[in-house]
Amino acid sequence: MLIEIEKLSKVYRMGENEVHALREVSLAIDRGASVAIVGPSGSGKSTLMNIIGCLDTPSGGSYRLDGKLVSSMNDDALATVRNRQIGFVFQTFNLLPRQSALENVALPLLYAGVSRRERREMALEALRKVDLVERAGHKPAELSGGQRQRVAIARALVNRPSILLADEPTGNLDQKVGREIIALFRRLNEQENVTLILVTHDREIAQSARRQIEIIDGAIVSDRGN
Amino acid sequence: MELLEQVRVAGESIRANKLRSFLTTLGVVIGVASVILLVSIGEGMRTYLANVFAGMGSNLLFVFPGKRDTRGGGHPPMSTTVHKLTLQDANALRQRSLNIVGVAPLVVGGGRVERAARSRDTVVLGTDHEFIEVHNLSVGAGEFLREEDVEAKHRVAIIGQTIAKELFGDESPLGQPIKVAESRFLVAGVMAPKGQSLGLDFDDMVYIPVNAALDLFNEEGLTRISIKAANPSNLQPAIEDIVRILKHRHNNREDFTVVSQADMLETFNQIASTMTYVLLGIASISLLVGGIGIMNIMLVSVRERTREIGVRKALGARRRDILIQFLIESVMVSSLGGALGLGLGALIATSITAAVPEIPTRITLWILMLAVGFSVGVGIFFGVAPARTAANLDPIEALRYE
Ligand SMILES: Nc1ncnc2c1ncn2[C@@H]1O[C@H](COP(=O)(O)OP(=O)(O)OP(=O)(O)O)[C@@H](O)[C@H]1O
Ligand SMILES: [Mg+2]
Repeated sequence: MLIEIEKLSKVYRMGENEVHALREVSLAIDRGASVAIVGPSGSGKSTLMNIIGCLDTPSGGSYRLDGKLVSSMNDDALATVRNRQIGFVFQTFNLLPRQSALENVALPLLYAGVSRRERREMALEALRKVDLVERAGHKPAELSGGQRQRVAIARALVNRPSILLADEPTGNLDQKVGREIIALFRRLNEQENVTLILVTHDREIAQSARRQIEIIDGAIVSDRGN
Repeated sequence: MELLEQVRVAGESIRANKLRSFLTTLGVVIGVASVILLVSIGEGMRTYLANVFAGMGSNLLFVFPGKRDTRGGGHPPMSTTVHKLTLQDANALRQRSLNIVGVAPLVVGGGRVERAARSRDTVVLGTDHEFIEVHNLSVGAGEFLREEDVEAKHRVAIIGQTIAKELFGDESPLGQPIKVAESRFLVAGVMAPKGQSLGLDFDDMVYIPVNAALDLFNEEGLTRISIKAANPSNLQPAIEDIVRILKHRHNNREDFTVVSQADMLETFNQIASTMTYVLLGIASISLLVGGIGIMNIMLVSVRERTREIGVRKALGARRRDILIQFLIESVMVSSLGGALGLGLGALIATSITAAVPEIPTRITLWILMLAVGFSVGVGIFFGVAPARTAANLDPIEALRYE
């Protein structure tokens, strides 16, 4: 099992109030799986994704990634896990505006201590996978929305992570471009055998994944295709 | 993450905000420039003093009347029992010490020199024939005071270049009569030009026989005795000789003070270095202000780049990576300011000396190192707080930041 989550909870304290974003969620995901997480706004999808992506830590329960107990790691250890095992794709792309596509893609390698020449080669290779080699020197502002998201996907892939996490990756794209991005994800999942977890509001996109998990009010209410 | 890459990232962000980066460095530029300028003036003073003292002659000792306890804690002399320093004292020193090669008694006074309708207020020095050898001076025309001029109390005067020009213009002053403080003297020589040092203009002086000067100013005692020792190794024995001989002559009282040239240089050097440190302190205040400016801008920069920090953290940057990135940026900004300040300070220092030669400046290696050290130090010291703020950002909150 790649991901083992048990009785995971996340509580936000806002003064007197407590917001239970996740209520004892248990979940296991295989290596190579493709999972869509759906649910109404505010149900806790992003919270779950952030914890799986080691950007956030749970309030309770345990999370094992590749057998290692991530839920008790310190910040620097989490940073290393993010760098080596996780590829994150955001709704808003989150590219650095002053850097070229190639430099953006190479960013994770910088923190992995990869040499300059290898960084360049690996970044070009990742850009090739998303079909954007010819735009390597362009700044994000010089790219279309779909191209930006493809650069972001290349960046997520560049360090050969075991998990690709995408939180509403098509949310800022029109439908046609969104479809292309989803097709790219499927291809990567199938050809590169990278585990894919994506959050979406689009039923059709959700159906394209082999497994669908629905979350309402911080709890899993259905888990199909498993 | 490699250092080189960090430097590249920092350089990029500095370049992205050229004007702001430049304005930020301004405080450090001014700070470092004033450090360079003020310290180079201090250093210049020190070099200048060393040269002046070297030009004054070497292996010199000075005897002053009265006991001045330079080490502190002594009793003030009872004025009624103080012996004056006399011409006989000077002669005794000349005759009874093998460590001494030259002795010049000295009476210093002020007076008007006149020739026909022209006159000038100047310094009048009463001394004897050994003065020019002791003090490394030379005569331009005619001759200096001779031994017999003092013995016979001849009314002869040797005048400096400035006075010669002022009173005689292009005429030769040799053998001409002048009046010094209302008394008649004949000019026997003109000094070679020497210039100013330590506030004394050697070209604007009149030298007359020491006993004539005592009469002229109605004095009984000498202002001081200048003594030249044979060699540096004779200085200490010479001091012992002087104390022994004069004490013997002064009823076994040490009512005089012997100061060596080295002591005087030391005192002046102490003054110069105290001044240097005071100036350094003042200049540091502007560096402090510059540093606060850098901290301020770095804090703004961290806030502006919150999202970038979030992205970097999401991609695997550790606390340390972010900390170093921002520290390098602030050190680069302040070093840039340091380099500009260095250039500016050096430029001002050299042009000051070029315009006003009386204010010597000198830029030494330690000043350069000081400036570099200061600017890097300012960058680190004032960069730590913003860099820590950046490093401590929570990745999720940073990513959400608008
Ligand atoms: N930093 C926070 N402080 C307080 N409450 C928070 C915080 N982050 C999330 N929440 C709350 O936790 C709950 C889950 O939020 P989450 O972002 O996971 O929802 P979501 O399912 O991703 O919604 P959406 O589809 O709108 O993106 C919400 O009620 C939200 O208000
Ligand atoms: Mg969300």
